[in-house]
Amino acid sequence: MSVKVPKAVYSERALAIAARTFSRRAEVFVEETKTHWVLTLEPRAKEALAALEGDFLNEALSQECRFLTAEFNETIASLQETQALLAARGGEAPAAPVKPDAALEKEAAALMAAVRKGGKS
Amino acid sequence: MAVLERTESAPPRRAPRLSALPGADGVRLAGEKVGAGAYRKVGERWLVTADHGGWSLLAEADLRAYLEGRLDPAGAVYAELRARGLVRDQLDFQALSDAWAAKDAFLFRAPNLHIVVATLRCNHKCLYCHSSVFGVERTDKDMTLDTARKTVDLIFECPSPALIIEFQGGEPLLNWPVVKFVTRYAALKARAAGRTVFVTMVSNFSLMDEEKARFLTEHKVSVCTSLDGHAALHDANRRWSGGASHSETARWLRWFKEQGTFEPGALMTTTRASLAEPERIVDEYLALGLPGIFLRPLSPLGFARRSWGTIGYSVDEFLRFYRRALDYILLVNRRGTLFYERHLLTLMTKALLGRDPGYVDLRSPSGGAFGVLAYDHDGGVYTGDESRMVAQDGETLFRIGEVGKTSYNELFDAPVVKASALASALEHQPLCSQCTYRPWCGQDPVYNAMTQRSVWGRMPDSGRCRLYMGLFDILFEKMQVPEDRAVLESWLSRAPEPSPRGPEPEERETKEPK
Repeated sequence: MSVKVPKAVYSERALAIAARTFSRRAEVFVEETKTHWVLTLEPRAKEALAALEGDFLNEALSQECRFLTAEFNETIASLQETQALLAARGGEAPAAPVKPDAALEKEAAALMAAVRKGGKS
Repeated sequence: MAVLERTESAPPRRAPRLSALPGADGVRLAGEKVGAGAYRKVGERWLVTADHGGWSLLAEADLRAYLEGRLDPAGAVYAELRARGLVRDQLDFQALSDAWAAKDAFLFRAPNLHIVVATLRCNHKCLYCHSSVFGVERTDKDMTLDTARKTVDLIFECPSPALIIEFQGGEPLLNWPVVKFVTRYAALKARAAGRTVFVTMVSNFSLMDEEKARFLTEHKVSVCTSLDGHAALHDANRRWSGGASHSETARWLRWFKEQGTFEPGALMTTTRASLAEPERIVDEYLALGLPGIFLRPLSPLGFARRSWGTIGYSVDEFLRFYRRALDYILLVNRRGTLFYERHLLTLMTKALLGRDPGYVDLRSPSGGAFGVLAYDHDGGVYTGDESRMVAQDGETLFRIGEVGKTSYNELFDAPVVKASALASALEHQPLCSQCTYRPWCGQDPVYNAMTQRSVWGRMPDSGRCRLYMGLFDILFEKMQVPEDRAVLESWLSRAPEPSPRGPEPEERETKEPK
């Protein structure tokens, strides 16, 4: 089945991501005219073509909206993601790492031996 | 994780995802006055919210007056909106900043929840098992002691001053030596590092005995189990050839409760068989003296995914069940017993107390990796327990390292961690970025990947989105009924604390290893 969608609404990038998302469900082939993309969807298993087309266009539209939303909110979202990544590594005052400790090593070895000796009980 | 919609047995009567104010085109927005970012019709009123978590429930006439900047500055509505940081030309930026930081405190902490899978073996055959467990004979699915030691070593590379180690499964008691070792070794490491470590275990209790139970209480290992309701329902869901699962669960719940070391926890999973009898399920929890219940939907993982046709249901069916259960719980409270529902209490902790309840499923960016890490029996490290579970179904996208080979910081270099952070930031999601519930909600890239084949997901037809939107709607509907609101506010005394704290920084820096 083929469907024509306007280039003014759907970017090639959105269609490519949508096609990848749908790769287990259908193969998507793209051709173009001056103003439209011509999409051919070949389902991998038997299913209603109208539903497949609708779901695919929903996914493509969702991707397109996401680009716009992400661009609009880029500053605040980037700040939060950076903060999350920084905090995961301990932020500005990470707890001190556990230093090599001979006494701890000895205790740990004894603990492992004791547990091994105890078997699976 | 939440409901995967596979069935639609009743005509859907859903609240729309976004609410339109009738005649909104005629509203002349006073941009300099309006501090709220979104509004939504909930019950008879309009909920307005702002990024920092301020909210108010307005009558429609007041909403129009607010949007047009016509509210009387001497009136009660204006005063409330101003106090909650919703009047744009009256903002206290320091207070707003503090509120935002308290609400999203997780953004300032390293992941403190570390899930350890001591074994993938289990002696139960639960209909909905999300972990795709193996039979008891498969000892190759046990974590070895060497892997356990490397796991604890990696956990202690995490810079969080307070760490929670949670045994999940499989049934952890099937690999008791590793449970004992991890518990003791973590205590040694914590002492040496001047950290605080809490150990918890999720178990079906069927292999519990007095010796194990005493070890757990002596080492302050808190326990949590599954309890789906009365015996017939529980045993039908949680099949065990060795006996009656419910009676062992109830027996050991009572035992741990009697010890008084800690309050044992219980988790309820809703199957299709549960939908008809929410009152009996609540009664069972009351009979066992539990302080509340966590009404959880099925997740589209593991055995549940495969047996959805038998045990699954739609989001709308779950929400109807939830409403009925909640109405009964509210009645129980009005009759004098304080008994809470944990989903709603979690949402209330965020919205009413303005603080982080430590719930990793509702965060932006997602709590995967940033709030929780999971360590599989074979040493694989995942961005969370669900990530580890879906690997059993062949989706290994969320595996980010291996104990003994990957350093803690390298875990966060994994492309999927950054992709998940980007994908799950609500500001990047078309529907979420406009949603009234955005200040308190969160995405799950694992759920999205499993149900919609993309970490980004597609919220307009996401069952998880509809589930949480439904739960938030229920909360704010109940907040409009004075007697229900009084009950809900009484639960706040049991609100989950923010993530546990470690020793104060000065103490950490000066404490010498013993």
